[in-house]
Order: sequence, then structure tokens, then C-alpha cells
Amino acid sequence: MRAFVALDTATEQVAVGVGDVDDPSAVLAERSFAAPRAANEVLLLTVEGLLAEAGLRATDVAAVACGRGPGSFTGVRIAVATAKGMAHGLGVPLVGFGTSDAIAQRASRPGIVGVVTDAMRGEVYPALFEVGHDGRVARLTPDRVATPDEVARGWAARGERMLVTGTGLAKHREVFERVLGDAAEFADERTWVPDGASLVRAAWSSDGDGALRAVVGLSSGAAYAAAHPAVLLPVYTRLSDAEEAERRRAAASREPGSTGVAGPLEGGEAS
Amino acid sequence: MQHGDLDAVTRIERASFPAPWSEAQFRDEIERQDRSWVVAEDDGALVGFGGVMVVDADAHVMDLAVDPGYRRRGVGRAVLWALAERALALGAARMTLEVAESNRAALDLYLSCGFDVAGRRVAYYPETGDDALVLWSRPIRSHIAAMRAAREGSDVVLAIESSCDETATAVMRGGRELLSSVVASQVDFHARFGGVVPEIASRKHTEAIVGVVDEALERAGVGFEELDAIAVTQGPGLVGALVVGVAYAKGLAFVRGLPLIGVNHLEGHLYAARLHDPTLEPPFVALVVSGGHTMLVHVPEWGRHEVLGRTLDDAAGEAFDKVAKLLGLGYPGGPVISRLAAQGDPRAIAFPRAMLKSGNLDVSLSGLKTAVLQYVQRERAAGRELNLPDIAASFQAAVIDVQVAKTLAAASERDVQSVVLAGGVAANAALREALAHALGERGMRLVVPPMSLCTDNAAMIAAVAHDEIARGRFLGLSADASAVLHLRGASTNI
Repeated sequence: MRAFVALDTATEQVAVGVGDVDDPSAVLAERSFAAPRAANEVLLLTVEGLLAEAGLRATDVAAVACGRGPGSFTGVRIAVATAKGMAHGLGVPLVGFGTSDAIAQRASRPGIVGVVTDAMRGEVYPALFEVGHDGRVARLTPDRVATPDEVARGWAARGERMLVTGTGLAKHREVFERVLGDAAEFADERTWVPDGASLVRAAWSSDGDGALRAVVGLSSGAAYAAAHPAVLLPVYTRLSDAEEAERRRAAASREPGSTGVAGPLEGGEAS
Repeated sequence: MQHGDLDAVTRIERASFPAPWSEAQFRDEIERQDRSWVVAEDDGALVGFGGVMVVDADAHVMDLAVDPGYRRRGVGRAVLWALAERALALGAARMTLEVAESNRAALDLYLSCGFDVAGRRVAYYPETGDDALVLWSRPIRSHIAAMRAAREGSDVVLAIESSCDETATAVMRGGRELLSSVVASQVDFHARFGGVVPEIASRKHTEAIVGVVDEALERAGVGFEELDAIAVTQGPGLVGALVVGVAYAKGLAFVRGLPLIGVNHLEGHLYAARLHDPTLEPPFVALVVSGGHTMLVHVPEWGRHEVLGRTLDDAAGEAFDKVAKLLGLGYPGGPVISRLAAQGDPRAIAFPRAMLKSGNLDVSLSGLKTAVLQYVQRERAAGRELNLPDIAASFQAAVIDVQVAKTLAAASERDVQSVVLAGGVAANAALREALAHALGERGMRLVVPPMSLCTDNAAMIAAVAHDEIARGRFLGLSADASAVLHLRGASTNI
């Protein structure tokens, strides 16, 4: 058995899934539960418990998959740093997927799905997806951060019915109800966060050179080189407060230079 | 345990638990093949004992108790690891036990041996109604192997430090032989903000950590398979930065089945002095001065600490940064103020020596910073050009005078012959010289590690970890980073 472990702690939910690198439909074990501000304490014990449940040892893990956010900065880093330690120690590829992708994977029906994750400060991390009749989830928009009102207006302009989901609804559901009206259906609150199975599916649905689908067929050395644990980084969509303040000051007079901090500034794919 | 031990065992048991085992129950245990009992003795007197039952690969710790007069002296830890050795010999891979949630001392012992809480049994103890916490150890074999290696001086440890703005790793053998030390500094990313931006620090650690570990291993000529343990700075520091190192280290330790050691960053600074001068032995007093910390610590023996005084507000390095910022000198402030001060007159401006006569060993630096600000504002209002070298020299002298006076007071209070100067601000030549001169006049020795060991590094973390392994102190997988982490006190179970 060549397993992979998928983990995400970008929301207040700790989610872990164990998949099979030779069978995209398999979810060998999964668990998810709310653990506000306790992700670092419970994540690895959960991983260990799930591997044992699946009859696997750490050395049976052929790849690690990790939610890159966006979400809580520290939360995202807990999963990413843990996953880096695991993949690095095992010498196996580390692949990433969007946390919003994992939430979209929980959509109950085909069609357009809008994910809004709480970004605090009155903002959300929005992303649009299309869920096919075969269950495939395709991302339509890149990660960014915006006000709920701006997001809702943009989505309303599409003129399509959509399922709206994500932790951003806890504070901002009223905005989406008001702006989208009858075009919006709202997901059950229990599905606003990823679960273990949705992480496994999100890992398989990611594409690109370093994605799970791209590396599973490679030799172990080539797979490790193609998705080296040093390379994967979180998706923040926001700069640090200090840099944001600097940009605001600079905006009036000149274009800002390189920030020196990884991740997309707003929109655009993460490097 | 033998029949002759039963009296003492039963006495300790009765002194330890509300529902103690009877002497008859202990007698029944002696002959059983799937059980193993150990006793701890001091001068022929039985002072502690424990028993373990092995079922398949799991060793259940049935009982562990220490004579009340011998508690907090490491007896329980010694008994637990002796039981682990027996359990390993009987084919066990892990240990498990139940402990009353209210039994804080026992719980602290098990957690500090790397056990994790795996569950709870509600009202498990009928006589008290207490809940039992179910604990599991990490893999016994690798922990015992690491302890043996550390006691022989052959342990190979990978250490990770990410408490502030430097991602550092090191590989060390036997606690003293440094095989590699790598520091990825982020100072350039923080410089334009005039100080460390915690969020940027956390991001940079995430980017750097894998590469910095690879480099340390490569330079040491060591692979993961040759490591005996992973050590990581658990605190104190910037919590978001610490979390990156701790989460990575836990992931690595988990998949490799290696013991994990959590190190106090401040203790690392104390051990840096031992790396520099292997003849350094406690007792000594240490002045730890850095961008994040300023404190005086008495070290009666390695692993035990008595904090004598600390800054009530800014750390020394922070004060240098803030004064440099208000003078428009850039970041970090220490080196630039030190350079300017060398050309100035330290008596030119009479800045206050706060708390010099406070009667205790605490210091305060924010008032001095305010005094510099007010002086600068007055000079500017009067249209006079600032004499930066004089301001820098006078500010620096005010900081040094107080630090030196408090350090001398601490050294004489604790009657020590050696003083350690540690932390990034130890780079300040004037501070080093003033302290060396004052101590030299009193026949005391000053130990100052070289710059590479004074600033944040992982070599010092590895050095602490070596001693912690030998003591049998480990972290479990549920360990987290801690922004505020106190040095282990003088009365703590070592």
C-alpha cells in the first residue's frame, strides 16, 4: 500500500485524510473536528491515529498533501510546516491544494459553487468553482481577499445560480442573501469547512507540475524533485500589516517594489 | 522488586494514593512473568518504585510512586525510564498509563517524558470521583537509544531555532562537537520597518526551514538515518515564528520515529557560553541581553535557574533599535549606535540611570529611551545640530552602567566567581569591556561567547538538548510553541 496523507488547518477545523496514491477514488481513513487555536497540539496525533486505523505506518506514506490556504495565517502555516517536516523526513513529494478547493469538494450538487472563507477584518477569501455532473471540481477564479459586498456583487453580475458555502457565511451571510437573492442557495453549515475526504479529493483534483496527479507516476527520486518539500508555500493573498501600511503610504507616489514576501499580493496564482 | 522491598513499597504506596494497593497485591506481582517491577534506592533505602505489565507491543504502567521526601528530585523520571527499558526487553514498543487529572505532579512528569494525552476516562477513580487521563508514550526504543547515546556522549542531534528573525539549524554530536551550524538571517526583510515584523518572520521561516535543515545535514555529512533526536526551540519568542519550527520538527520527528526535545531559547544562550568555554561550570550568574530579552539569571547547576532580575519594559536590544530609529540611524540599532558611540563622549549628556538604586536586580529602559527622545526634541527646537556620536555614547553608557552595576550586585549576592554575558547585545564592545573591567577588579571571570554563538543560533539549542536527552526529558506530539516560556526553576524535578 502506497498511501498519502492530506492535511488542512487553515480554518478552525483540523482535517486529515489518508488516500491511496494508486487509487484516486480511495479514502482509507479520515477525520475532522473543530480545534480553535489548538491545531498544532492535535494535528499530528490525529495523523498518527488515522494511519494506525488504516493499518499503516509512517513509512508507508508515499506523499504528503497539504492545504495552502487562504485562511488563518498561523493556521495555514501549522499544516504547511508539519507537512514539510513529514515529507522532508520521509523523502517523499509534498503537494499542495487550495483550502477553498477542499471546501468546494463538499458541494452537494453539480453547478457553480462560491466559497467564502472568513478573512477577518470584515473581509473574505472568495473563490468560484464549477462542479461537474461527474463530481469533478474545476476552479474558475484565483484566490484573493475582498469585502463580502464586492464579492457578492461580482458573483451576482454572472447571472448564474450558485451554491454559496464557507466560513465567511457565519458573519456575512446576510450580504450574500441580499445581493444574490434567489440566485443563491446556501450550503449546510456543517459543510463550510473541509473534511478528510474532501482533502483527498482536492489533492487529486489539483493540477500543475508539482500536483499529486503529476507526481504519482514518477520514480520516487523524480517525484521528490518535482514536488520538493522546500518549494510548497502558503497562499496568503494579504501582505503583513507592516507591508500593507507601507504600500498604502507608497501608493500615492510610486509603484511598490518587490515585497520580498512570497505569495500573491491580490488575485493571481501563488508563485 | 523483591519480598524484602514490600514493607517500603507499601508505605510509599499508602503515602501516594487515596486507594493504595495492599501488600498482598504487591506480593502477587513479584512472581508474574508478564510484569516487571523496579525500585529506586538512595543509600540502601527504597525511595521509589514502579511496575509495568506488557501485553503484545503495549506496556501498561500499573503503578509508579516516590517517597514524599524524595519528590521533585528526578526519582520518578528514573523509575519511568527504567520501566521503559524493562518493557522494551519484554517486547513492548510503547508505554501507556492512566493518571488522575488532579495529580498535576505526575501528569507533568509524564508529559515531560514525551507522553501525550490520548483520552479521558470520566470518574475513573471511584474513591475520589476524579477523571483519569489516558497517556501514551512515543516509541520507547528510539528514546532509550538516544538517552544511552547522550550518556555516552555519542548522540547526534539536529536542532532547529526559529524564535525570532533567524532560521537556524545545527547538527551536534555529544553536546559539544559542532558538526554544522547554519543561520538564515531575515534582517534585510525587517530592516525597512525598523524592527522585526512577526508576520514576515513567520513567513520567512516557512520558506527557509527545509533548505536550512538540508544545508546543516549536508555540511555535517549526516543523513536523517544517523540522527538520534530532533531538538527545537519551544519558546520564549514570537509565537508565530516558533510555531513554524515546532510544527516542522514534530512532523520530522514523527515520521522518523525520533525523540523530540523542546528547548528554552534563554537556556540556549546560557549553554552558548559552555560551547565557547568547556571549562565553564556552575554556579555562575548570566546576563542575557538581546533584542527580545534582558535578564539576570543565577545558574546553580546546569538545568536549574533562578531569575534574579529582568527588564520591566524594553529589552536592551530593543532600546538600541528604538533609539537608532528616532535618530534616523536605521536597523538594527546595536551595531550602528556602538560604532557612533566609539567616536563620542559618554559623559556629554547626563541621561538617567533608571533603577540603579532600586534595591533589586530589575532594570527599566523605556525611561532612558524617552529621555533621549526629549533631548533630541529640545536640541532640534533650539535649532542646534545633533551631535550623534555624543548622543549614542551617552545613551550607551547609561545602559551599560546599569547593566554592569546590577550584574555585579547579582554576582556578589549569589557569591559566584564566574559571570556569563550572552545574547546578541553581547556583541557590544563597550559593554563587554566595562563588564570585564568591573569583574576583573573583583577577581571574577567573565565568559563571553563569540558573536556566532551570541546571536540566535541552533548550536546552543543542540547543546541544551544533549543534556535534556540524558535527563530523559522529551516532548510529545501534542507539544506546542509558547511565546512565554519560563526557565526551569531551581526546585524543579530535573
